[in-house]
Amino acid sequence: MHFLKSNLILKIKWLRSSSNKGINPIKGGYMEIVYIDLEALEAEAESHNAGLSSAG
Amino acid sequence: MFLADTHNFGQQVKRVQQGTDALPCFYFDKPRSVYWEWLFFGQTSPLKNIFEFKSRDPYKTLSNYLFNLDIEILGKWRGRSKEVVEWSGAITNEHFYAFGALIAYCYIFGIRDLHKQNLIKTESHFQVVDAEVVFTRLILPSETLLLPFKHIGYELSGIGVFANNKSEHTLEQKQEIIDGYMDMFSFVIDKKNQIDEIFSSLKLDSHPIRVIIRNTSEYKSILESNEENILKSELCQLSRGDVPFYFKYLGRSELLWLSKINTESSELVPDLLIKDVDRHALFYSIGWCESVASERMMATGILCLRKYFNIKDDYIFAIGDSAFSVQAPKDLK
Repeated sequence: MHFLKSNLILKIKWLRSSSNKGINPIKGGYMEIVYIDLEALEAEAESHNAGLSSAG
Repeated sequence: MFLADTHNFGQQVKRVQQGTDALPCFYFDKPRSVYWEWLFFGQTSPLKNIFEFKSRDPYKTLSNYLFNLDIEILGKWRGRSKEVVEWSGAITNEHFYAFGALIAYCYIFGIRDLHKQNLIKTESHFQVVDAEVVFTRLILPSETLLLPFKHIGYELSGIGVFANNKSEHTLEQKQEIIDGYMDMFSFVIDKKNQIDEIFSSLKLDSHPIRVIIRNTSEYKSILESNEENILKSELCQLSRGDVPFYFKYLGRSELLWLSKINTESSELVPDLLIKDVDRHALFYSIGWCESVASERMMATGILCLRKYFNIKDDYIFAIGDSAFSVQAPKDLK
């Protein structure tokens, strides 16, 4: 349930092709999932001062 | 002639004319450090060459959107900046792309207080003209104030130079912002060793970095209220007619203020403010970019922009031999 609130990035390790320096997702690739809880980060950011010098 | 607030014994930014009346040239005389404006946005910044990298416009480099200020450092507490003349033409997609690049740049280097009065429209982009708060460890890109944050909306935040609310942005404009963000952020990750080498070659710890412990607008009413946690040094500065001004030196924990014209005094930071003060003017021995500019931070910013603009697209970016796909769990099959 926690992850339903989260956002995530999928890190896909791709190997460079030796022939043309392009990236090749087939050879030796693997995938890693990294979760980022954006709502938690938003709450943490909100706990800080906005730091606004303009008097508006 | 006088602009902005008074700080440090009644000193103010002044707009001064040089040249003749027929061919005038205007400068801003700033009674504070202009070192950070020079470093992050100056024409002669040592960072400029690193950013001479083609942007999506084949005739422009990323440095075109940043390093345009003509800055003269006259001392630790004084400098001049040539006025950036506002361009009267229309806003184009390039302005949105450059704004996205600026968001990434300021998010990475912890440059804050970028409300819309600190941005001037040029032909290709909005130019930052004031940068005093730098090297803050930010959590989200909105903390730069280029985007709305907390109670600060389009009326004051940087993006307010484009529109009155986010519903006025087209999908294409939102995409330009995200493209600019991704290009700049991935570029800095790629060049982080070079950037950190520049930083380590400079005496960054000898220049005051401003810390805004309280929004300036709050001082309007603070003397009339029974505000708790007001610092004695805030009251002292208010009583002499100044908007309180605090600063730190890079890598040092002390919060400082000028108790006399040339006397730097340390202020004891109350518990309520310490968490915020501590994340300002940070120094990392292994390098700022090495410590801060990560793929995770880049993805956090993309998620933040994606959510803010209500975009459901996935984003893929490649750095080195890795590719990253940013998406929400519900999108996974």
